[in-house]
Amino acid sequence: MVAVPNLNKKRRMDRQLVTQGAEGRVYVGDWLNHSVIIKQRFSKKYRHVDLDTHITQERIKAEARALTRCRSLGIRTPAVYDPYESSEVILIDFGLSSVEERAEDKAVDLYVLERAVLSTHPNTEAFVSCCISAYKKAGSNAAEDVVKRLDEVRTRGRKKIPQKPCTSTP
Amino acid sequence: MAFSVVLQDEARTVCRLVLFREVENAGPLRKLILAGQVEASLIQPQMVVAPFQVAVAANRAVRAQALGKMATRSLYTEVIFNLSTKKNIMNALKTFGMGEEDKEVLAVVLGTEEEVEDKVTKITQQINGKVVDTSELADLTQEARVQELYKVTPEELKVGSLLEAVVSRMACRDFLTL
Repeated sequence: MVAVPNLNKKRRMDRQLVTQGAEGRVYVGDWLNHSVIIKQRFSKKYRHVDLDTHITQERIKAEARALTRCRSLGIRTPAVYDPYESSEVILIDFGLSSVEERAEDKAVDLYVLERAVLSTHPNTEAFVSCCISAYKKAGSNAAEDVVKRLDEVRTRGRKKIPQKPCTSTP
Repeated sequence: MAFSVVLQDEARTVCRLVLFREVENAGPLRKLILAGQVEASLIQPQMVVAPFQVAVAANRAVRAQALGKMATRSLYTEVIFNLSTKKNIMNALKTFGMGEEDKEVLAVVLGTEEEVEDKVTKITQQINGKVVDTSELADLTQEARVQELYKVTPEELKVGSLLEAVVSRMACRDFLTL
């Protein structure tokens, strides 16, 4: 998945563009007689080329790592076939992922999830509240810490939302 | 009979797999390998789930060779090394390479179409055994052993095939510990 500028100029017969986003392009193509999805990241010309290459490669590795780890836990992610050329199966952008175990990071993730659900589905406050309770129940001590942190996270930033308690048992 | 695929490198190297059973001379063959007389990777078919697994290893090997970045001394040992998820070359060759007493061997030949034809002829003469259809690989694969070796989890097999699990680990060897 290293950004390969030449690819833009040469039309390759073995792959077809599916979509393009801010970070790169997604193709569908043939690879070793298998049908694969190819994710290619753009090179950022405003960066120094060495730094850009390094950052891009680290993002690719992080994404491949996250996808494969998720898979081993039974999460349905694509299988990574080849992270070194612009030929592999990557569909979800995990480029900014890390495997730190900090409660702060987990709390922020929960917060992002919470805000995402609340903003896209109306009247889901109780549902979200119950999700958090279920998380606390499933995770014991570590989860308690994370939820405590979550309360702190909620007090930060603009556009805070008031909390409703969970009214049903999960 | 044999499985053939064109690799993704610039040279469009052809990769052909030939499966042998009733092999009688694994011991002498190993000596030939050490003497540099064998122009093929000789792999234990028990550790191979499907030809694609070998194709991915071969693809990576030819790319490394073109860049002058092989980790092992020859293209043929490089292919075997790429099947492994660990960085120890000797360990990889021992786990995936043909053993002294093996009765079945999967031969991997690389080159242009003409070179591959010649090399297949040569290796067929060198191996004292019976050429069988590569589809018989399915009968020889020891899935439980493969699963254990590649540390594939039961959860993972619910969301994908053993082949996908194996290839993912091979591909991400350099930066993934699972």
